[in-house]
Amino acid sequence: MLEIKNLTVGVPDDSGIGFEAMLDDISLSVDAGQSVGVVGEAGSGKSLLVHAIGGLLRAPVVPFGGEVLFEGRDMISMSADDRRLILGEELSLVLPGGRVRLNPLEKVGRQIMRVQRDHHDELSKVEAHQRAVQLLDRVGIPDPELRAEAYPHELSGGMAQRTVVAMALANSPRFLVADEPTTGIDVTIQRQILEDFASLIREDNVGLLIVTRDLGIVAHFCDRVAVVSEGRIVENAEVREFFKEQKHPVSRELMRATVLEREKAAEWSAAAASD
Amino acid sequence: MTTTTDVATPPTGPAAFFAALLRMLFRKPGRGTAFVWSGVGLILILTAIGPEIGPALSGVGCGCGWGSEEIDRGHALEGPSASHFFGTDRTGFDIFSRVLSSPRINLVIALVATALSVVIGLPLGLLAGYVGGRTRAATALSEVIMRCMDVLQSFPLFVFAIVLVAVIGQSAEIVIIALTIVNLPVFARLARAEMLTVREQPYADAARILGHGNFRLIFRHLAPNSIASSVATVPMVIGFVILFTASLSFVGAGVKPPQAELGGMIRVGANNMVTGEWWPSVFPGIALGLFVLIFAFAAQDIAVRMRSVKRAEGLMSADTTSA
Repeated sequence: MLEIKNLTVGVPDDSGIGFEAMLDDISLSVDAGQSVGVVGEAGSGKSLLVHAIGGLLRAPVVPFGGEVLFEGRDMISMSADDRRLILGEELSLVLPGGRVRLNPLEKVGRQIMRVQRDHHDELSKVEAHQRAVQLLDRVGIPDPELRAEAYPHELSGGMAQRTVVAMALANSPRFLVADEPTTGIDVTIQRQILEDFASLIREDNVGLLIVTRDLGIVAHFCDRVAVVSEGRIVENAEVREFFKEQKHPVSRELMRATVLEREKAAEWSAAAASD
Repeated sequence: MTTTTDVATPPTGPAAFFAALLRMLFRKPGRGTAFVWSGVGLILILTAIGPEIGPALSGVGCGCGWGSEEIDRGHALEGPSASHFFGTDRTGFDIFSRVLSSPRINLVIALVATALSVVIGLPLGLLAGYVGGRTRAATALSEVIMRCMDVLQSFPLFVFAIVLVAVIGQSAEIVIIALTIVNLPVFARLARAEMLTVREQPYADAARILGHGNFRLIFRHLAPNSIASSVATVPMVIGFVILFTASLSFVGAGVKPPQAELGGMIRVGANNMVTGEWWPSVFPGIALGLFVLIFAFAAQDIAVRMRSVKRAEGLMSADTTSA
């Protein structure tokens, strides 16, 4: 469904001929109904990958080669207008940061309505508003009716982050790219959102590419995991295999850094095996 | 669909009303806010009906009454009295009536000139800010706009206005054109500066990946977030324009006498100052000072309010907290 082929992104070097690669020959594919976790240390290029998929790269950072095929259409080479028709409709991105991703001057309900009505002219305001309230309810915001009338600064950080997720889900996309979607949300709600993602994957055959630092999320919710280090994918494995044995030193390092207790390692390994 | 929220019913009655009024007047920040805005209101009311109520009000003391361009023959240059509250000037105009009428000229010129500079300057600044640095052509466009603003701003206002008057003739329109040209770059610069930061905000990217095009992005997300400092500057510029209209008239390059315009009145009266007849220019001078002051305070009040809104949003960056 989403197929990234030899994607290379970088900054032109001083000579003007070569370039300094920031993402080097990334290949990764996610099928419908599959969820792939991307993990890696800070600065490894995880978020850059998400930006490349969303067409958010800005000079001097440019794609130097490769393709990001979404259902056969190359997201890198297509025009901004074509990309716009896909984004938020067929393929949605969740960017990290929560509140800063919301327009501070607009009520969150209106912002969710706008995402829907921009892609569906036929939708009435009343319908869009009802759906906005449903979406807020779905991502676990209490009093959704009331919160729809709130401005971003009136929401807590977690609620703002959930609103961002709600906006991404507004048009029932077939594919979801989520960059740290649950960072800053308390664990119970985190679980709720991830389980919502999981049910989308199971029931609606949605594809999910999730960037995270939390190996626990990978263990519980992903089918495959790709480890990124210094702009390269160093390991791409079935989750079950990955938690049994990490092949690459970076992966082992990641495991050691996050898994402090042996029991937790065992628990995750079991969770990965049971999925 | 109904949500019920329990809100404590506020106390009612005259006592509560006055308590609320007092709180409003002396609340921080923006102490005296109500005074400032009622001052602005008063000036607006005078603009609307000043020349009409002038004769009635100026006649309260004697049963007579003077229009702003009506001459009391035989009573020129008389000091303040019951029949002429602010006295008369050397022609015999009633100063009080003329001061009441002056906002019709001064404020209308100020409002029109400011509105024109906002309407032209703001979009130019937003455009320059949005396109600047994206592609070579876009950067060139942005540079052309901003260098034109430099050129406009480098005109010495007085020389420029006097040349216009010499070429076209003396009229309120010329004053408006000159002041628009001088103030237009102010708004273009403010809007551009804010747009440059706002366009890099995370919500701009977030809007893009939800499928918004450039047009919607600018009008729904970026522009509304980029006009705060321009809005706060509007009353300031209005005050400035009132002062400059008066200055131009004072040097004879502004509004044509005998129209009731503060700068012109001060100029006429200035000749009599040396012989002790202070009233023809002091009263219009005080009025002019008050107008400019009130608009300056209004600008201050808006700026304070916007700062507290920003603080509430938690968007206040460290470098602006000291301002």
